[in-house]
Amino acid sequence: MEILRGGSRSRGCINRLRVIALLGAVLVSAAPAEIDEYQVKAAFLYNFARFVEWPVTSFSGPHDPIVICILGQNPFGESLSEAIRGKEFGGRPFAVRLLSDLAPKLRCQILFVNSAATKLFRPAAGNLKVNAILTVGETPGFTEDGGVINFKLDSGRIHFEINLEAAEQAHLNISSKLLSLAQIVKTRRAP
Amino acid sequence: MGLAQSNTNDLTQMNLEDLMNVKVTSVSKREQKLSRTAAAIFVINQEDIRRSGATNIPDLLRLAPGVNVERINANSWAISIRGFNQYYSNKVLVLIDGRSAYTPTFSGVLWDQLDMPLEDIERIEVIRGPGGTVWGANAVNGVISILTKSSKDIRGGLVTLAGGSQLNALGQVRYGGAAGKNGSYRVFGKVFDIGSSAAADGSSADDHWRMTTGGFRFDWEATSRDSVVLEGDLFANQQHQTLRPGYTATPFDILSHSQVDAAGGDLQTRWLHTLAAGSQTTLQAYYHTTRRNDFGVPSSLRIFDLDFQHHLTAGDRNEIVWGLGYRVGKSSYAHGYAIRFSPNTRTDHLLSGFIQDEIHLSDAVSLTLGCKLEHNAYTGIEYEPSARIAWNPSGSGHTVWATASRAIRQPAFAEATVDTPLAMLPAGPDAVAVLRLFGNPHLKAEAVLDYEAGYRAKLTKRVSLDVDTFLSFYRDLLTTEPLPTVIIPGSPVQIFMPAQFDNKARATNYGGEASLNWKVSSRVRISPGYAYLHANLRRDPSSLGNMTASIDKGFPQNTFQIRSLMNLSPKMDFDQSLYYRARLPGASTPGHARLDLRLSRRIGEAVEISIVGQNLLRPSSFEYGDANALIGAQTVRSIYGKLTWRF
Repeated sequence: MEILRGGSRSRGCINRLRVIALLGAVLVSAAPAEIDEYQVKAAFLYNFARFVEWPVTSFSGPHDPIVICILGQNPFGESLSEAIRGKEFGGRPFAVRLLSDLAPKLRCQILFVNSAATKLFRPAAGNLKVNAILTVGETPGFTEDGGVINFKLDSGRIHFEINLEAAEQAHLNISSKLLSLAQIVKTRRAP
Repeated sequence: MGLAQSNTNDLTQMNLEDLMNVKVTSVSKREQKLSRTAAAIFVINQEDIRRSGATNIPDLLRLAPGVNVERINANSWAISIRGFNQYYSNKVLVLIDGRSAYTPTFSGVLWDQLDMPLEDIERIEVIRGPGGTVWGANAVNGVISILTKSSKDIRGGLVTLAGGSQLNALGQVRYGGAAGKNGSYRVFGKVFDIGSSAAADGSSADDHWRMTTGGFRFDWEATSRDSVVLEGDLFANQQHQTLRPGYTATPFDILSHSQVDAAGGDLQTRWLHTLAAGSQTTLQAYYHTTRRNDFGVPSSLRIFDLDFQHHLTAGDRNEIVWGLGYRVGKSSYAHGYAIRFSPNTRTDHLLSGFIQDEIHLSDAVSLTLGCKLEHNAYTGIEYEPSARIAWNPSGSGHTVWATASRAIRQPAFAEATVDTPLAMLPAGPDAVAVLRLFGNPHLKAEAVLDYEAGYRAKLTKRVSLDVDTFLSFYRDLLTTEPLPTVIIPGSPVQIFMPAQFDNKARATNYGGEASLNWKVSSRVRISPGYAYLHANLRRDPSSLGNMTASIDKGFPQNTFQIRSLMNLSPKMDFDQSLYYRARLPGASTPGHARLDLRLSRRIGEAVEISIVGQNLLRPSSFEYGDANALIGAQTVRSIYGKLTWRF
């Protein structure tokens, strides 16, 4: 029965659509039902800032922005800039910077390292800790190589892992709330 | 549901738990990389597949510009890229999850042996132009790579039932779930039955086809650095065809109706390991076996293949991939009356190694140099180098690329060993001419030198464009050369005219493809594609024969397709596709147009009902006509209904 009803309604719709197509009308859109991976990752990056405490020395003034740096290719498009537009936390606004390589002294609170840029990150991992930077990756093994947070895709949902030891070395204080949602991993030592 | 509906700006207002539950659509790393690759690539994704209404893989390939798809009868196709299309098309490599579906017996793909639930395909990557450096021999004009979904990404059950005027019945069941803590699996079974289409006089073409397939895939995240895939399938085919055998005297041809039975299976495994320095290794092995009785001749094929690849970064600027491969294949034929092979069994070994370095000259420019060396049983060592350069300023959304490459096609078992009567012709009152074709064990590899350039751009948020152009120089193409005629006295007198395969033709082809993807609104997407091909084939001065072994019906100069995908409502889709291929010069095969429409309605989350009309423009028409001995059948206008239930 359901099939038959579906069928007759469908034919009505073909006719309706022919009219629409003939008029050349452009159908007005509803909100998209799917959310792009990087829109969600952008929201995560913003959220991380609320659950991480940086040492005071990380900023030069009380109203200095929380700078989110992106190393290499920017996979976010405009979505990260849009996510942080007009937002502030603890009296600090947010800013986004694009980096093509890693200078010894970086003015970043969060550094996002996409898969393609992981090769730039690895030799600089030690130096980044000195700079109290929250490194966020999206490559298997990123946290084991000394990164602090790593995104994982699990059945189409974004999860993350945290290397607590790397966070401590970078003098970052991560709230237990964030830790409770993460999978905790350790730095892999050379054998 | 509420989460999925929320708009982008609200995401930052969501708490972390909710964010972790948002289902995301992700453009894989691979797709990101593809958009910057220096090659003509077209991707058919799962949404395209679902909304095409196609029930088989050949029809899906019509979505990609530059791919030539010709239906010969209900169960046989001629499929190629950039021409050289025929039933035994031999210049395109087809891969399923990295396993080659290229049959070394005759060089080509038996499309009727290739099926799976189309819902389980993640995407089909169509790469036009030579891909020999990485993929090896036979990727002369392109590569079609079919990638199935990880079992991690599809859990639960799927039941599909379909039937209609041409598709008598199709049923499939798939179920997937977790296996242990880090593993997942799916199993499927599928059966369909397609009715006969129409012969030239409108009667039944006797090309009825029934296929049964079953298979599984198991994905296991052994550690955070190791993942293993194990997959396998079995199939059994029963299909009918009409042949014009060469052993009866023209014009007294007796068309023979025969049934082809084929059965076989594959088992493959792949182990991906991420090394400490972030480099990756892949080890893959597969085994394939088939038995088949084309032309009434039982044959069998067994292949074992082992591949290793290592992907590493060296310094800041070099991304290196190198690999080694070994394949052993055993082709075996019984002696038949219509066709025989001498020797009728061969075991061939193929050894290969390649290295490719992608050098990031600057942020925007990357140069990829690579070469494959391959040793095959017919022509010995072959080399397949390529150079690719891409300019892709970070964040600009524009890529300009150019390539130069060489690729080869190694001779096939059949070309080296075949012995078949082509025709018997009355030649006077008491004489008969017998044309017989022999294989040539000393064939050379066909080779192409190919130059391409292309431009890929995201013009606006809604419009993306992909154009490319190519110039290809082929040499040592296959010809059929006459051998000295022998008169055999008797009654009747036999004028024995043997012919043999040889490499005595060249071609200079050029052309281009363009495709546009326009998201008119979130409800409408329109994607037109166009391919132009100019072919110039010529025999070497020393050739006395013909080039039909290479070109059959010739090349379509223009091919055009346009699709429009419309969401009438969140629950209803209306999709249209129009495909046109200009006339083929050989045998004056006229142009062919095809219109397919699909209307679907979802009921709740679990059920989808769709109605698909195919070939709606004409009641019946020939696409390709006869292909050598195989008699072509008309494609008929058809309609089917389909019910999909997910649980």
